[in-house]
Parts: sequence; C-alpha cells; structure tokens
Amino acid sequence: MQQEIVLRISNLHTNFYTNMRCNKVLKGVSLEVERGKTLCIVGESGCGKSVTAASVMRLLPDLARIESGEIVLYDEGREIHIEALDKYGKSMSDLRGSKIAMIFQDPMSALNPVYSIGFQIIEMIKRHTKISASIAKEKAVSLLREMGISSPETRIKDFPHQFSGGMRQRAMIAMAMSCEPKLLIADEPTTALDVTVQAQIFSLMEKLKKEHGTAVMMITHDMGVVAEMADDVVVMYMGYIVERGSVQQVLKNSTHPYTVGLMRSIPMIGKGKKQKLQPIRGCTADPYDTSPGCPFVTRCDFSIQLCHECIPEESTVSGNHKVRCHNPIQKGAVDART
Amino acid sequence: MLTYTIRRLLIIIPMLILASFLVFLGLELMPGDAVSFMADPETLANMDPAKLDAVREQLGLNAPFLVRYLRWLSGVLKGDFGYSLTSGVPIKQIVFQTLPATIELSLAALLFSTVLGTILGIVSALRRGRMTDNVLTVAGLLGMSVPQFFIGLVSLFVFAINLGWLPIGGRLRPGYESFIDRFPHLVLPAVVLGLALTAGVMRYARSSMLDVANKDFIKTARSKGLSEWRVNFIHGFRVAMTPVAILLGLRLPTLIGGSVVIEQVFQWPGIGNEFLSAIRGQNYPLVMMIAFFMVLATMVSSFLIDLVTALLDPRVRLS
Repeated sequence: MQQEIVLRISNLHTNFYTNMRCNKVLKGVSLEVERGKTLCIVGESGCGKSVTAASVMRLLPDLARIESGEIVLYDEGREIHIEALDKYGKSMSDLRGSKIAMIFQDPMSALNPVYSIGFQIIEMIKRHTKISASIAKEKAVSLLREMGISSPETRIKDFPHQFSGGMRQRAMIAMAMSCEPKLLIADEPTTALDVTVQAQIFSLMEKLKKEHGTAVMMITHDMGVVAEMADDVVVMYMGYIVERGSVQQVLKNSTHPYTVGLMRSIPMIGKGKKQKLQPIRGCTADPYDTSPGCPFVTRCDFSIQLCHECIPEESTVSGNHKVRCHNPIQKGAVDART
Repeated sequence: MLTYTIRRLLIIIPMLILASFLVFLGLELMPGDAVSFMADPETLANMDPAKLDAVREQLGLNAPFLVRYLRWLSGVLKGDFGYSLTSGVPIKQIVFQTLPATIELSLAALLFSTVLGTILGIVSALRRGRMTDNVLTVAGLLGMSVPQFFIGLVSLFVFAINLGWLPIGGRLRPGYESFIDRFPHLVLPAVVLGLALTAGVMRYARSSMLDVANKDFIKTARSKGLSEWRVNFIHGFRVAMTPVAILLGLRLPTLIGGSVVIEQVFQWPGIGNEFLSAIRGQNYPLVMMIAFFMVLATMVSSFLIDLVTALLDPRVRLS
C-alpha cells in the first residue's frame, strides 16, 4: 500500500517559560503519522507526549511557545504549516475539529455538564459545515449509532451525567469524528475506563481507522495498549524521541535501554506472582539539568563514557527503526539477561 | 423541571409552619397577655382575680397552648395578623403599606449586585493578574469590609448633599409617584445595600470563572475549533454561574436584614423602618409578624434562586 503521510513533525522544539526559567520540554521531536495507521507515543509522565499533542493542536498554555521546527499537515495536496499559524487565529481554529480532532483522557470531565450530548455534537458540526440544524441533528444521531450507542434518537437529549464512562467516551469519539478529521489525537483515551470498556473503545477506534482512513496519534503510557493498537511507535524520554519504528521493531527488537526497561517492567499474565519485575531504577531527571550527556545516563545500565559527554544523534537500526543511543542493545543481549 | 419546582415548593410549607410556630412561641414567651394591654396597669392590679380569669376565659386565653396556636394560625391564614399595640392599627395594614417599598429596594439591590458583580467578576477573571484585576480585588475587599451605614452616610453626603445629583432620602415626593419619578430616590439606597453583595458576587464569579477555565471541557471546546467568545461564554460562563447563584441564595437573608439599616439611613418607608420602631416600642405582635414576613420573603427568594440554579445546571433538576 502506498503510504500517505498526514502529519509530519520535524525537529520540534517547545519551551515553557515558568518561574523565570526556560524549561525545554520538546528538544527536537520528529515523527510522521500515516493515513489509516496508528502512531503510539509512549513514555513516562513529563516526557513531553502531551505537549507534542498540544503543539499540534496549538492549544499550549500561554506560558509555552513553539521555538523552532515544523508541524506540517497534508490535506488533499496542500501543505499546512501549523507552527506558522496564529494560535488564536481563525485559520487555526478552522483546522481544529475539522482536520485534527482530539479526545481526552477523562470522559467524565471532557464533556460540558450543562449541555446535552446532542448540543455538543451538533455545535461542532455546525461550526465546521454549513448544514441546517435538522440535518446536523440527523448526523449526530447516526454518529452515535455508529459508535454503538443504543436508541440514539432519545439519548441525544441526555446530559453527560446520564451516560456511563464508556458511553461518554463513545460520545466524545462521535464528536471528534463528526467532521471526518484527517488526524485524530487521542490523549490516553482509555486510562480512566475499566478494562472491558477499554477493549470496546479500542475495537471502535480500530473500525473507524479502517472505514474512514483516519490517522490516529495515540498518547499512552500503557505498553499493553501499544501492543494492541499501534502500527508505529515513538518512545519519548525527557523531550527526546529515544526510539521509533514499527510496533514489531520497537517492541520485539528494542534497542534503546529505556525501551527495554519499559518492556521489562510490565507484569505478564501466566508468569505467576513470583515473576521478577524490573523497574527502571532512579527517577526522571531534573528538567532544568544542563549536563551535556544523554538524559537517561544516570538510570542506564549500559552507559559508556561517551554517554556522559554528549547527547547521541539518531541512528538507524534497520529501515524505519531509529534509535538515539550511543550504545544500543543488540538483539540477543537482552534475551540472555532475562 | 416541573417535578423539581413542585417538590421545591412543597418543602416551603413545613418550613413556614415551623417559622409560624416559632413566632407564636416568641409571642407567648413575652411578658403579659392581651388582657394586660387592654387595661392600664393600675386598674389591672386592683381587679378581682376571678373577674380577670373570666375575661381571660371569655377571650380564649386559658385554652391550651396548641389550641391557641392553631386559632392564631387559622387567623393568620385568613389574613388576620392582629393589631399593633401602640397604634391599634391592624398589622395587615402596616405590612401592606410598607412591604412593597422594601421589596422594591431589595430587588433593585439584588439586580444591581448580580449584574454588576458578575460583569466585574468576569472582567477580573479574563484579565487575571493585570492592573484591572488588582484594582477590582482591592475595591471588592473595601466593598465587603466597610460597614453599610458608613458607606450610606458618606454617599448621602457626597452625592445628595455636596453634588446634589440625587435626592437625600425618602421614596417619593407627593405628586410624583410614577416609577420614573421614584427612580432617583431608589438609586442610592439600592446601590449601598447591594454593595457588599456586589463585592461578594464579583469575587465568587472571578474564582468560579478561573476554576472553570481549567476544566477539561473547556479544552474540549477549544479543540472543537470554537471561537474564544463561544468557549468563554457559552461553555465557561454558564457553568461558572451555578456557584454564583448558590451564593446569591445564601446571601439573600443578609440583603433583607441589611435593609433595616439602610432604610433607617435613607429614611426609606419600608418594613425595616417599621421593624426598628416596633422593637423600640416593644410592640411584640408587630415585631413577630414582620419577622415572619422576612422569613417568608427569604424562603420565596431562595426558592426562586433554586429555580435559576436548576435552569443553569441540569444535574440539579434531576437529582
């Protein structure tokens, strides 16, 4: 299949200016999201995954600024440079919702409690299309039906608190999909839901991806979600992409010590309660730390002298599989240890 | 919504009965009874106790407490509120003469403080941390902490006496009784009465708006591509107003109570003025009935505020 890139981020730097200091949150993020594919961004809290999403949406807080780099949205032959648009401008808000839609972590609080589900979906449709109110309502009903909500004609009048958590997330997805976006950004969409509902939401997203060809950028810290949903994976640590590639390459053939560490800290069903989980030792480095080396060096079991001296450049493992490490782990070396 | 309204109305009934019971209990605990007010103390002291008892029996004053309460209550329900001890005028007449003026004043103060407080609160929230916000914060603190009678006197001195923009007091001049003519009289007392509430509403609206601005659904609204105006006012404002409406409901009694002081300062011919002179004259039946009407006014207004809250937030109507 001919790959069709929907979103390309290259060398993105985003800074936060807080407490009179500059916190470099993204230090050169580059990634691509393809049509009909899911890209998962994984990493621990504070690694910059949500800031990446907010940069694409241009919904960063006022204290944050995109310093350099490019965010390009490819829309029917047009190249839209998102980083160059005015974040409060009309051309940016025209993109939000219609070309790039977003769903959030907690469906309990992501819907406005005082308006009906229908109002909130129709509001979005009317913002981006010029159709009449009655057609917009029909569309909202059919969207809810497509998301698997029974008797949507009556449920559309309900308020968010009358929906269960899973149903609210379905309503959120219905809203996000209402204008057929090119790119759907999902910021930990299932973290607040229980496991059975998680599976339902995933199969729904999988279906939408296939039927509508939507590109999905999914932010998560759950490696199980990655294994289930991702086509491509990006592993982030302290504002850097430390490893990226297809899900096969990154999960089966992890080469960065951080990715390996993440994989080792997942409990496996079937191994029993005696299994040894190996958490990554230490804790996240101070974001204001200015030492020249690799940000992971203090927690890394494979560090060499060079790691303390400079930040590694991205190197190719094979094909699209790239890693940012001076001393990547060879396949076999890991297996021998576990 | 209809069931909510009916349910909320039904709650008022037991509360009113309780209030009326307390009023009657208060009357009962006061020294003396109806007979002791009918004759002067000297004749009363020289009266034959048996004869006195016969008069009491005849007036129904010897009946058990509850029976007398029920008789009194049925009288009140029929519109018989008793008589003022000092003037002998039916209390009903006094209440109907003075209550409209107080309602007018309180409503004007409520309207003024809600509208101005909300607007200033929003301005303050949208311009957080800047000069406007800081000035409004200080002004709000002053408005809340300086006593009303003081602001009342100063404003009378400045606007009525020195500048001569507004009349000094009273509610109307004979011959000029339309609302337009009366309006200048209303301005100062209503503004002074509403000032403390305005400051409260402003602070509350500000923090509520700021609180809502950090909510996830505001992020959702932005991610839908809605305009900043729509995000702030359609999505933010309505949610932010619910706590403000609740605050208004809680502060209403102080508005009604505060009118006692303000009516005195501005010579407003309202029920608060009547209340003060009734207390001074130890005119207990009148004091009790006015207190009862204040309870009634508070309940009706908090009922209205509850309706507003329910209109703003669907979760309230359905719970």
